[in-house]
Amino acid sequence: MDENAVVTLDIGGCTTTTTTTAPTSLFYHGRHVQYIEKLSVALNSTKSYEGAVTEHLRMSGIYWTYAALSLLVSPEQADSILGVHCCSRPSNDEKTDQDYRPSIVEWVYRCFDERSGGFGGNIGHDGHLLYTLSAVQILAMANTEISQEKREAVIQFVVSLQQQDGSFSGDQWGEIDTRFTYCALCTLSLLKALDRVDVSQAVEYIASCQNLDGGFGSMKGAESHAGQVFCCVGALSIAKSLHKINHPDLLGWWLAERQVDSGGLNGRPEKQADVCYSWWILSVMTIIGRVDWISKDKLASFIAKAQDPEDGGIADRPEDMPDVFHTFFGIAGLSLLGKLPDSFRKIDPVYALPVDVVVRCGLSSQILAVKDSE
Amino acid sequence: MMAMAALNDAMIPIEDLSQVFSDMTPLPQNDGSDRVCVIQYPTAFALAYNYMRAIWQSKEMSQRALKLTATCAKLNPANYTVWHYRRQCLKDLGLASNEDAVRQDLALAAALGGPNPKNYQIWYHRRALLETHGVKELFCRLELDYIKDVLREDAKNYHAWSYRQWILEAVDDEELWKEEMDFASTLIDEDIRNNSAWNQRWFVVHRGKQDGKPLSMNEARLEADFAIDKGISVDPYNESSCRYLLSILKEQLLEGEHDLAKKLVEEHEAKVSNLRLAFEKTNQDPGKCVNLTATWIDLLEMMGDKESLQKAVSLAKGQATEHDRIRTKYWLFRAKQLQNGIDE
Repeated sequence: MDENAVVTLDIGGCTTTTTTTAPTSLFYHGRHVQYIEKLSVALNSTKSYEGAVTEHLRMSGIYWTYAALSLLVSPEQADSILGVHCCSRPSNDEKTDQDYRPSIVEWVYRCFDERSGGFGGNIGHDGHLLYTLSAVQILAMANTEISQEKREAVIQFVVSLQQQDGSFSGDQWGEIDTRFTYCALCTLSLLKALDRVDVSQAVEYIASCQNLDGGFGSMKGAESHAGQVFCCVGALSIAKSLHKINHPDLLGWWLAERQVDSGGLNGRPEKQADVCYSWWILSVMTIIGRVDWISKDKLASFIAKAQDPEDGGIADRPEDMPDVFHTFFGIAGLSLLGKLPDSFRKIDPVYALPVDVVVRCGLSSQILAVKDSE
Repeated sequence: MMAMAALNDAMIPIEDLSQVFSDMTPLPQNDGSDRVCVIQYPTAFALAYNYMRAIWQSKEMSQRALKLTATCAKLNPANYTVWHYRRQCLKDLGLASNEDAVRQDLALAAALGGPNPKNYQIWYHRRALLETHGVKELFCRLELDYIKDVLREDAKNYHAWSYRQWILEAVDDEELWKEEMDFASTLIDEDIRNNSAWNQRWFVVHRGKQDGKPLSMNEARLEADFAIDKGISVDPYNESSCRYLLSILKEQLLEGEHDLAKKLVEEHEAKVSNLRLAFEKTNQDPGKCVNLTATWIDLLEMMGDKESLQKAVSLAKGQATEHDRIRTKYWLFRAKQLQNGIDE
């Protein structure tokens, strides 16, 4: 991949209130590949402080990295760059000769927590739904079939976390959040085991977390928040229960109202725009068929301005430092907006995986037809 | 607030680690490569966590293990496995239901979280302690005060609000609900744009229960008036107060007594219409206040008569073509939907 590879985004020559040094209409995908490559090596280094303070969530970090790269290069290239199937050479500052890092797939399996039956954020960590989902997503992208034994252990782990009211806790300690309903249903769907939990009860719980402004929160009574909206609507989509959204037009409008003058999207009223909402909100609007209700060009322009044209990567907003989380969601956002060339792989709005992976795995979800003014 | 001395007592100083754990071999983070030796700089972080991993492997539950979890939580408060292990130690040592120990752990979590903690683990630790021990009166007050301190730093901290809601519902005390109403009102006074405070007001006025019971008509009127008098009149550009008004009215239409609800809608449509007139009186174009127009459109739709709907269609088209062009397609859809309502 040529590090200087760029693509011109079609944003219709729109202007917004933000002025930055980066041109608004170029997408530096060559630099982004370089950024991702450098970052994954850096985090693995034993000298990295950043790596040390994020080691507990490395599973999700790898998922964001792998998914982001998958939208930029072919599956073979992504696998090769990250060492998904083959072990890779360690970074230059390692002195030993014979040691190789394990492949990503091998490392994922090492994160399996026997005691709980789930996957932890890194080797030695307790199993948790968040990292179990990331693990299963990584294996799906890697086209690796999980063993029967582990599959059953993971299913039982997820099943054990469903509460009486249909909600899910993140692990055996009991924290409840609608994020975990999404993690549970998405994991089980990927393992073709959705029928092992009480889906209708799960749906009832999600439905009860709807607020009268049309949005969803982390639990009943909690303030509507775009991230939680994604988790709730994503879960309903997997459960083919979008009819449980009481006021889809109102939800669509609440989401459309997240777009501010800069073109970016915020997560709640009167908060700052953040690139990651390009994913949380756009995916929901795609699922409910109302993505035209925002200005796609202005949003694309906002994401483009948040890129680092020198070193690659995308930040939460223009002029800030990039990180892999926002890089993934920024690229995913541009993909959903249809702004990337057709030759690039597309992302599925429900499973947050490349569409070809979703098709290959035979996954299904519910997407509403586009609502327009015609 | 936990004193420095108490915080230090709860942890093992980095310089003492090797001595306190002289019987154990520190374990570096396994990266899956099965390397015989791993070169690592002996940073404080690496040392503490290497001993933590050794403890996890040995499954030792002891005072020194408990203190080590505090050392490690200070270095990385988001490490969920550290917090899990801490709670396991507390349980094993018989401290989980000990009032003093719980109080100390709440203070420790506060000290480690800083003025505005935004990690899930540290908030859940507080809840887990109280779920085990029981949200008794003493802790309830202490916790509400703690959350207030955090909200002073960041009045929109989502974790703080979720935890606050859980406590109020768990205790379900009328005095506390009344105090909370005052608290939410104060926050709205301080920052009318604090959507979390408006959400809290909704939560409190419904006494937290999500059993679908609507407010009484009297309560609804008070709330609708509050939304206008303390919200929309003060800052018509603010989204939160508009949504609050519409939610109150919608709840009455959907679940209250329909005729009374309609009357309430009419009263407030008139008030919003007057607010728009106020713009004109000062030679300003009310159309520029997109929120107010959107609210008026919703109210006209609720009124449902032909004249109101026609007005709403015209306003929606104005939003689409002139005042809220970033959402043109939404407003065109809305205009069409309203038009369909007239044609039917």
